[in-house]
Amino acid sequence: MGYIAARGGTTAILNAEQLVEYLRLQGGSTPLELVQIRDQLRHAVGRAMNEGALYAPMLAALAVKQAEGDSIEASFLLRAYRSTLSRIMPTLPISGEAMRCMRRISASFKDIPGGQMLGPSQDYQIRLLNNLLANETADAVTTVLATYEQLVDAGMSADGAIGHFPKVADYMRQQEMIAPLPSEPDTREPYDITRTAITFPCARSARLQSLAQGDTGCLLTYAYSSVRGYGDAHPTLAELRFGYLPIQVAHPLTGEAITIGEISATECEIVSKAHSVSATQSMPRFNLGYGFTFGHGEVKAISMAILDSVLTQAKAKGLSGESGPAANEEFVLLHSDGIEASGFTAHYKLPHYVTFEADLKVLDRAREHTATQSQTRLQEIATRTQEATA
Amino acid sequence: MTAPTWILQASGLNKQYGPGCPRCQQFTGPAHNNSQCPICNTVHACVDAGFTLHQGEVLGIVGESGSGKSTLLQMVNLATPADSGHIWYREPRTPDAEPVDLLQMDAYRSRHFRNDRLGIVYQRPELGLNMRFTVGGNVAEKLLLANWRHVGNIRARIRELMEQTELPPERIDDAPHTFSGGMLQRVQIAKALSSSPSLLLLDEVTSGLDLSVQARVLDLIRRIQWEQQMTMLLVSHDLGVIKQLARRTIVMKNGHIVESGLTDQILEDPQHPYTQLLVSSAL
Amino acid sequence: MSTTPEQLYNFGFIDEDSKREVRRQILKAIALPGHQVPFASRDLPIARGWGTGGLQITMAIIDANDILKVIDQGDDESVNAVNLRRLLQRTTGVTTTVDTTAASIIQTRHRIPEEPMRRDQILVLQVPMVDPLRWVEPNLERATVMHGESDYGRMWVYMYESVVKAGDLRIATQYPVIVAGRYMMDTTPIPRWDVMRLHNAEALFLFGAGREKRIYAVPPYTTIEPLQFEDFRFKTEFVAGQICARCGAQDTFLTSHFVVDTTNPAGGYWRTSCSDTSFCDKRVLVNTTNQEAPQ
Repeated sequence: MGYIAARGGTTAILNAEQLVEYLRLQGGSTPLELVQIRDQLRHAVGRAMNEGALYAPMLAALAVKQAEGDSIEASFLLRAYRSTLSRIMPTLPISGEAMRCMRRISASFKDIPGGQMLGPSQDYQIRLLNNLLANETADAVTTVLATYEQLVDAGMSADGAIGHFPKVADYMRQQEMIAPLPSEPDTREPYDITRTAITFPCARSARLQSLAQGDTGCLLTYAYSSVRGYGDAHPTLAELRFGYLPIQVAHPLTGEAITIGEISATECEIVSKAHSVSATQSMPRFNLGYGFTFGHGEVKAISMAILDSVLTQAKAKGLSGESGPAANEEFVLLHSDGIEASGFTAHYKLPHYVTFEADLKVLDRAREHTATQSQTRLQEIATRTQEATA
Repeated sequence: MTAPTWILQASGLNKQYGPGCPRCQQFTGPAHNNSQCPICNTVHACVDAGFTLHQGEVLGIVGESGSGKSTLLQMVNLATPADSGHIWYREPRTPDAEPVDLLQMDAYRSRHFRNDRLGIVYQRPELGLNMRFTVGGNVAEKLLLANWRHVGNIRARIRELMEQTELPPERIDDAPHTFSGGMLQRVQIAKALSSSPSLLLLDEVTSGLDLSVQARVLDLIRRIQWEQQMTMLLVSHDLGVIKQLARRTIVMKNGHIVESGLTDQILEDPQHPYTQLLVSSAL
Repeated sequence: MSTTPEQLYNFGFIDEDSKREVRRQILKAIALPGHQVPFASRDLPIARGWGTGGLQITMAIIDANDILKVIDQGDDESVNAVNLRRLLQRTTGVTTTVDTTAASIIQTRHRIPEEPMRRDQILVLQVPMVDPLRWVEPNLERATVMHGESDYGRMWVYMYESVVKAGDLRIATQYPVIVAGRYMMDTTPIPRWDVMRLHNAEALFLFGAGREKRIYAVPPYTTIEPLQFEDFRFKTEFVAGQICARCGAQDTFLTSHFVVDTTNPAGGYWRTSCSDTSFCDKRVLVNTTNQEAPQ
């Protein structure tokens, strides 16, 4: 029998690995190229990067391929890889305003400085299956790309500031609707949960880092519950933007800011209806919640922003989890990591026969005890009956 | 320090929620009928409170809700940390020992002092009891924390306490939700008494109960006080309850003590306008 | 592929800075027996819940001269033990063994080896759930305060209730103990059989929880007191007359499995044997050499 055979363990594992490989290739179809996955399955790649907490599109494509499309498995591969890499340095703080936006919308105001830009969004598409995609040819692809090139050439403006917009949140700050940014920027290094274990109560940077690598489904569930009544969330979308963010680090010798590249990212800011008043402000204001993902992850960014706002409010009022589990920071952060949650849930597949044996012994004793107790009670009743009739 | 029969001497106890500002005093206090500063929003829950409690005595604390009486009680209970002040305690079992300032004890000693020397009963049973344990388990908690390790002995002691508090001892293993409100107050009292504390703290213990049930619980408390010469701090908004049990009383309003003295004197001849109002509106 | 993937990784897989952090936390854990020390647990190529805590401890302390043994449920050949040993061996190149007495580091899940360990050996235990107070207080923040104040009353009420409801201390494994008279500790899912092996032992015991991100330790010669009452004492699973069908041992932890009768599909029988397979093998060898037939 597999688990306790004298020499079967290693063979079983090797056979299992072979079988996995076989299942992946048994159809005999053309092997997927990593660029195909990176280009045509960008959401799968984006999610792997987010939950794997590593911005590396080609590695993410490889992970998606190796995991046969299993999102948590792909993220797991990236997380494991990240652990062998040493951390070089944190980047300089990046303002979302530096983003070259492909998409930028706000639900708070009809008109915003710079205008609403729908960008590449499927929000208003009618969800009908398109079977033209079933027979897509390389020629068709070339035609689409050529058509688009012509549109770009015709519409390109001379204005160099393509895609740069001011933040709606900054406008709100000017109007004192939300708290102002601190006059002195915080130059301390943010909390890094990969270097120092998170303990509670935790700093907001620790919370945001945890949420950023949290499982999309999990964050969605919590955010959803909090707007359905199990929380104090009444969000309005201040701004959602998707585009390219430049990454800068400080030069190790001169200290000047060097741009080392850019990443595609989604950023979301929501304001919450609840009024917050702190000791340092005289006027009530709205609360700001922040969400961020690598790549294009709108649902996750919005969920994260809502959660951030709910947790901030709960903490400020000293009510943790009173309105629902989404308002309990410890509960949310300890259960939202997909790699941890799936690992532990799956670990029940491991042999537990020693503990089960111990459980059986306890069950035996409990049975004996119950049997003895009922016997005793029967005797007591018999004695009492005797005494009563005596 | 006064005569040797005192057990507790509190002085200068303060508790506020908020940063405070130089103008707080101008806008808060009994004269302004207000506890919260409109400038900085700080709530002054308890301001410069002090009292002396003698052994075997019942001291009543009366006031309306928001007066600070529960805050004061919870500071004596070492559950709410005081912002400043002293609570000098003299252990009745060792009258020659030096008094100790309870507010200077570290968290570990505080926790064990509270468990051993204090007993507390709350208005709502779910504050004082754990609804997931049996009634017996709840009463046993203080004993277990005090290192009692013999189940037979523990159960014997629980039954003793249940009889003392007029609870049916055969219900020792029942779940709390099967008990009525009045019975749960008795369970709290049994638990509070389990460690033979030197001080019993009672926070509005009858305020949620029917009048007849109230009367029975008060009778029980009075009996325990008499039999054990138990020192008690009794918080209530109900002058009737105070009158039945407390020899001396302090009156609180908006975080301040506005009057203190013998209960009978206060009821007969109240000095402060607020006390006059209270007394005149009582049945 | 000419290069196998493992060669691209650091000795012991995790990077040196990570190892340093883990070692610092181990030292802190040894200085405060039974106290849970948080550590920044890294993600590994093995899933969370499958031994990442134990692995990180082993990875942080192992060097090229160590001799490694890995067991699961006491068995060296259990699939998970094989897998963990494979990862460690490939990323370190150390010699591995199934002989408890020959190993310098033993990583284990759910058992302590039957043969007493020496002062030059370290046992690394894999921990699923860390806080013994989780039954009475799932909130970590409040539980941490309870540990700090030695406020274990509620846990004792839990033990009292188990006696009252089931007539005995009901906890089968993950038995709570008081370490060095101070901290309450979860002993991990080792059977009660093994709990007292932690008491006053020569070897160092390190406990790693990867998912929960905590390390704790029981240094040599430390007192371990299982939670018990004077009239309801801590008992192991020992049953008089129990015997291993392979080697005849009557003093080891046994587990039972069903043996199918190949001649009769409806038949078969339950067989008990030592959970510690390498120890059992040794005894079988001795028995065969001495030509003693097992009972």
